[in-house]
Amino acid sequence: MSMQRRHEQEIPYATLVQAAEWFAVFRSGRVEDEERRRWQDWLAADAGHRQAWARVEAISDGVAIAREAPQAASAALHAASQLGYRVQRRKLLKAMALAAVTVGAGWQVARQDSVQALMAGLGASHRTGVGESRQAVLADGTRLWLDTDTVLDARYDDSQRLLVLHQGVILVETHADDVYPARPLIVRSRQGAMRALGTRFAVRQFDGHTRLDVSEGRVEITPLEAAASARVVAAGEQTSFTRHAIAASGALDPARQAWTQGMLIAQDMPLAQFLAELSRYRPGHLGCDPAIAGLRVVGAFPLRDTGQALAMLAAALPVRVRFTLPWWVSVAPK
Amino acid sequence: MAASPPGQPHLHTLYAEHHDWLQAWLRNKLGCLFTAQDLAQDTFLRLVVRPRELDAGQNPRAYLTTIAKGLVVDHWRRAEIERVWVAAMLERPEATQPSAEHQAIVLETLVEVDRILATLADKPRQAFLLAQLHELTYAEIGVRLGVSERMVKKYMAQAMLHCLAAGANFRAALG
Repeated sequence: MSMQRRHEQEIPYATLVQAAEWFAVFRSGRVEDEERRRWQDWLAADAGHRQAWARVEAISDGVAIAREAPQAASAALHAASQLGYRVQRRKLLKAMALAAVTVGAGWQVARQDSVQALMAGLGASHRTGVGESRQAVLADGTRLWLDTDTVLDARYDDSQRLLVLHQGVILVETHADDVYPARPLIVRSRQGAMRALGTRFAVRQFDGHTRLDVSEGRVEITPLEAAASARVVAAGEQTSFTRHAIAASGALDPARQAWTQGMLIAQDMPLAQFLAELSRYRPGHLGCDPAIAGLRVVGAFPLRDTGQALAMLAAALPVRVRFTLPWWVSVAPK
Repeated sequence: MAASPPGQPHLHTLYAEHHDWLQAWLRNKLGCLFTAQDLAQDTFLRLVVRPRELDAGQNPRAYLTTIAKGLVVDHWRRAEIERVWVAAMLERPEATQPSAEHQAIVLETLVEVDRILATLADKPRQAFLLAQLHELTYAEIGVRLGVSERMVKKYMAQAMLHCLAAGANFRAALG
């Protein structure tokens, strides 16, 4: 599947939830003016909202094509559902879980090519699934850790060692270049470029900004649309930047790199933030009742078994974890 | 020049070592060589698209058959939809039968709807189809399913979220 397609598909899960709820409101046929205004505000607020709504309409219209013969369509669907394989299929799909969110379009593209051609094109990128993290060593010996749900392109050529971070989190440990003169190592996010000056650092791609944590050496940031404001961040510092500006540097929080050891370390972390972090490692929804959002979490939690992490949470705090569906989990007061 | 992600070069070996075996296994299950060839190819394609699901320690043949079984089920379901749909269209007076091309588009849509909704719980699935296909109101659906209108609304949101999350695209593209 092409990187581009994958990108277009990315809509935060929370936005999909809202779009689905608005769909249910509109389909009821009884929409108050006030509600319609709220829906318009929601649409206006974010391009992702509009994208999600366009998909809602496409799905709704898509089904409508069978309306000219609803009885025949129903009969056909019913016959298929009676084949008795639903349970088995459900198990299989549960395993694939919601990883399919970004696969839909890719699958269509993939079918048109031969297996061999696709295999040849695969080496172009590094990726991890939700809940997965992995280490890689690049051609020059540079070591890379990829956190959950990360997509990265390594593009090395004669003039530079370029790592393009499309989404997720990476930790980079640079290695002296094997080519002379040494090529610069640059990580590019959606907001700008980070040039390594002999170093170990982590980069996280957020929706509208990039965060940089420097543990060793130094890294120079150049925002995409403000080259003049380029700045060097030193070891032990962290900062965030947008396409236009770099925030003031703060002290590095070493706990933030615990994911490379498969752990999430919480030091007095609000529960809502803790669950938001944990949800990056599980497919589907992980919600938090507002009444307990401010509870403080302390401890080290396993990221490779988020079910275990949730069980630990329930044991440590006055909360209850509800599994409505395998991929729909909410945390509520006990 | 980039290092390949771990585990992936491995696909070539998988293909070389297990393709013929898988095809024979499928043929035995389906009784048709051509379908077996198609589904064997599809099984490997799915491995390419979702490489992260194959762990190093796993028995490759067990994993391949898990995927292949899913595809066989898809195949049978598709055949069943086609059978019922085509039969229903043939019962119509000739003048009201949609064109072959249009029928094919509807058929593709139904297969996709079935594929996506197969993993949705029964009531949300029924509510969604009654609303979208039969154009019933929430009140009418509530009576049929024996639940409140509020519940129907919840089912509708649940079903739509399910479609969105599964990357549903019911605008069937042909060819």
